[in-house]
Amino acid sequence: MTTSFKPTRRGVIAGAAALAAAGTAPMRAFAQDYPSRPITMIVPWGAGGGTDACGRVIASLLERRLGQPVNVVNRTGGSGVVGHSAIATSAPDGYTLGVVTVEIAMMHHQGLTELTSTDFTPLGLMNADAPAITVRADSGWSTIGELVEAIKASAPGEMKATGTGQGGIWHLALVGWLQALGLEPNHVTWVPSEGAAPGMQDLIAGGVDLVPVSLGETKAMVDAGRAVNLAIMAEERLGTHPDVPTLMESDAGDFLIAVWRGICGPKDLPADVADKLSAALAEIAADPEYTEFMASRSFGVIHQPPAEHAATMAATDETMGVAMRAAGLVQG
Amino acid sequence: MLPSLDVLGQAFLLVMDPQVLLVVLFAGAFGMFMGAMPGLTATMAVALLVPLTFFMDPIPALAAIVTASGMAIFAGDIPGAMLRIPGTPASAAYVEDSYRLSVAGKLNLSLGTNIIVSCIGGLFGVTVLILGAPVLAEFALLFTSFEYFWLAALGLSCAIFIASTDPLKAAVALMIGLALATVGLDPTSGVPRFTFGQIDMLSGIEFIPAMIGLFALAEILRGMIRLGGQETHQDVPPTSGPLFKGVGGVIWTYPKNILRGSTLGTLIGALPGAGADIAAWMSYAVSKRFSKTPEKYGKGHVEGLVDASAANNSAVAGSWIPALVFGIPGDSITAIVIGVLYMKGMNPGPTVFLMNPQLIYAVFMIFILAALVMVPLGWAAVKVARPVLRVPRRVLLPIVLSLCIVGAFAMTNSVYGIILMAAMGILGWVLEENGFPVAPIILGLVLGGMFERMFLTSMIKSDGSFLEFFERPVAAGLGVAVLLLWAWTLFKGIQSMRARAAARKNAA
Amino acid sequence: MQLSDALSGALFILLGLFMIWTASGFPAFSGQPYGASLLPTLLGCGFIIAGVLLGLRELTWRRAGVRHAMISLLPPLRQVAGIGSVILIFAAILGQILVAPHVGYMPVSVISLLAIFLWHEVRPLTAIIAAICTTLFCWWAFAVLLRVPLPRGFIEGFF
Repeated sequence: MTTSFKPTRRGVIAGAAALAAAGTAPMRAFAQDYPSRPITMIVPWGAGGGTDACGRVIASLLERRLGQPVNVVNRTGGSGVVGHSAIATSAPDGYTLGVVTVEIAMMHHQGLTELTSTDFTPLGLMNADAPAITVRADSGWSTIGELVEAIKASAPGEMKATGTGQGGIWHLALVGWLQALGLEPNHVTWVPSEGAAPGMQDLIAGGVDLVPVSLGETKAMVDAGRAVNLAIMAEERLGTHPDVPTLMESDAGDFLIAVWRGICGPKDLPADVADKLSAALAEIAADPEYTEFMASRSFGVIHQPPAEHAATMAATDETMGVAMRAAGLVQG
Repeated sequence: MLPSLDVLGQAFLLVMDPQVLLVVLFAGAFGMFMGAMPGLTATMAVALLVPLTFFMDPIPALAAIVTASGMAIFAGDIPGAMLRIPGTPASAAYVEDSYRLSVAGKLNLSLGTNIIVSCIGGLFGVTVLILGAPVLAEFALLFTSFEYFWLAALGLSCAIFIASTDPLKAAVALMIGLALATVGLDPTSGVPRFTFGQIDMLSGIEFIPAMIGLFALAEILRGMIRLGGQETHQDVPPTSGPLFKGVGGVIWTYPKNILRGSTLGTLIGALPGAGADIAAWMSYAVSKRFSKTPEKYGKGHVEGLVDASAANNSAVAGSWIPALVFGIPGDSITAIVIGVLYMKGMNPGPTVFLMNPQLIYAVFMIFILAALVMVPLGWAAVKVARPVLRVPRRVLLPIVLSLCIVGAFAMTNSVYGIILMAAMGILGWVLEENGFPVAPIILGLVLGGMFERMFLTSMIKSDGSFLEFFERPVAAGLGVAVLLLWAWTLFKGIQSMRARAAARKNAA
Repeated sequence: MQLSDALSGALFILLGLFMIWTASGFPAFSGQPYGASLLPTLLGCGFIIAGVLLGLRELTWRRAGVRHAMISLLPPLRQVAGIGSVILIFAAILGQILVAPHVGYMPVSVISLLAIFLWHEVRPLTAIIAAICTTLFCWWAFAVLLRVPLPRGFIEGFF
């Protein structure tokens, strides 16, 4: 070569465009026969937990519909930051998907990551669970009204609650509820725990007074007659638990919150790939195999198509920002 | 609450189904493989079985889990004895003893004892599970953060007994373990600590890759630099002959140790959050404390091995107690089991004994079967593994290195696991070259998180008052035990210092 | 690498100072004197005390006439064979961290195993067979059986 090559800005841009074109050309071609190889489903929480169970059942049903293996990969740690980052930074080709949980609306307020729900391509919201305010069976409170009375009568910090770590979703549920009651966000002290199961153990052992976690997480203790669900922070009573009243009908604070789990890909997933996946997920949400499994674990089944899924994520982000600022958890 | 003969009969028929027996056999072999591979744990073995159990009836599904987890806990002893690389964290407590025994040509005695004692420990645990599950579960439900704090403190105090030659360096090693446990996103405060802005570091120092690094990689480094071209023989001489020869004598000599290890293991297993690994460490320490020959521990003595082997297998059954009666996971394995129980319609809780008693007693019988099947399967596994010792070290060590790398990767499903393993490997290697023991690091890493978390949550509950640490009866009992232990250790230390000073005076 | 107790003591003092300094930046719980900084600060103090004790011990030994070199290498590490082994082990690990995500687990594994075997004078035929068999076994056990997402690399197109 005799001519010297000097990189100019235009040249670089042209080259990049050419590369991008070369890159998208085969992508178009393979979007039609997508998927042509195994898909990875990232679960940001540990094996054996609720999100893992949801992810695995959805993966196995997706596998049947797409005709390719869907491998579940647990990327745990950092309150979900590690796994969510792995989903968001994967190649947007439809071969890496993930279960995105409500924590995505919380962790960036806490200053743990830059990641927000807009860094994902929503494909369908598959599950939502509202927390139930749960107390010991021998606590002396048999209705939510009596508990509210007791909380209002107690000195700030006298009563304790637990169920997840500092700034976790159930902590924010408590903060939001206390505010709806017109109380200070820390009127009931939050005792951080490693999760709902140790929290329930602490409740029964007499370490705390109440636990606001999902119905499925309290099921064993309630069935054993050791704990009582007083009210649920949902719009209406649940078909699986018709005897648990909602907060609003009991006039015990006007507050709604839920954890949700949805399937997302990284941002900028090709439209035809996203359509294929969201259609498959819509089918799964109505599949009796899915609904029966979810009912057996007391997980609430809902389905929202991508647009609504995105709206839910954005709305939760706002609610969480308010609650977390109130709780003094916003950093940076 | 003893079941009727009718229920037992039904349960027996459920278990004796050829399909169930076949599942027990395959799951047992699978568990053996998982446990014997450094970096693959009992928890992982169970997690991998879950998708398969989707398609099984309840009894074969639970049979697979029970068998695989029990086998994996034993099989972790095999690479520990042969290569000084514990296969699972539960074997790390006594790896030094079993390895030194093998170097002395007693591989058969070491592993044979492991098998038989594991079997007895497993049987003991299931007996307690059958007879005392409801009572023990009530006891476990008395534990709040105050009790757990003292339990963790008691566990950490075990380092006093485990560490021997150089107490100062052992203390430093324990602090390194505790310091490593603080890395990552602190669940109590929600604050990232010592993560240096790295996303992966938020998940902290994961236990398994760290253990692979500290034990396996450090061992590989030591072994490979000493190869030096000419020296190729194994440290552990190849052994043949009957596996169980002399084991009867060991059991005859230490029946109390088996009983003590099994009891402690079952109790610790029954406490939610404490599993087979903590059970093994604590019973090893207790064994050393009450032994007539504590100076032999860590130098190839079979006594501690008896205690700890019995403890880690009985803990497997113990952890089912709170899981079955209250749906509270005793460890990471039963966390998965609870999910499977719900899926199969056997909702955990006291009702499980009333609604489907034949199913629950069938599960108990599977436990017994799994403990018994451990003897022939363990025998076969050791037979299969023994030729490994004939492989020259320069071929074997790189192969083990490959397994460590993929094992570390598998624990985080990313290269972060490999990075952790490498860093811990260098740390373990350098520390051990300088006379710092590695075992206390593992102990600090296992208990550090629980210790700190339980202290801080207790302080939040008591509004900063120390008195409440002694207000609940169980907490007070445990607290006094910890304080007495420290007082006694200080007293002994001062006494021996005085004795030494007097001896020096006399000599002068 | 062996360090004298005085040197390792100094390193632990530095570590302790670093931990205390970093921990001072951790936010405390509202209304609580204790928080995320408590244990790291205590451990930091512990490391400093231990470091001082290690240094003092070295001093008393020196007075008794026992001298340790500040830094000494193990004899095998002074030979080419020993250094080579260590370098190759870490090259194999770094290869899996840096190179494998691009070209796949299998080629990196085969090449690094082969290099280590040959360095230790394993016969070439044995080395090739062992390297390939080990790699295939790891792939089968972890990627196929256990569905661990090992980097696939060039075999991507085949599935």
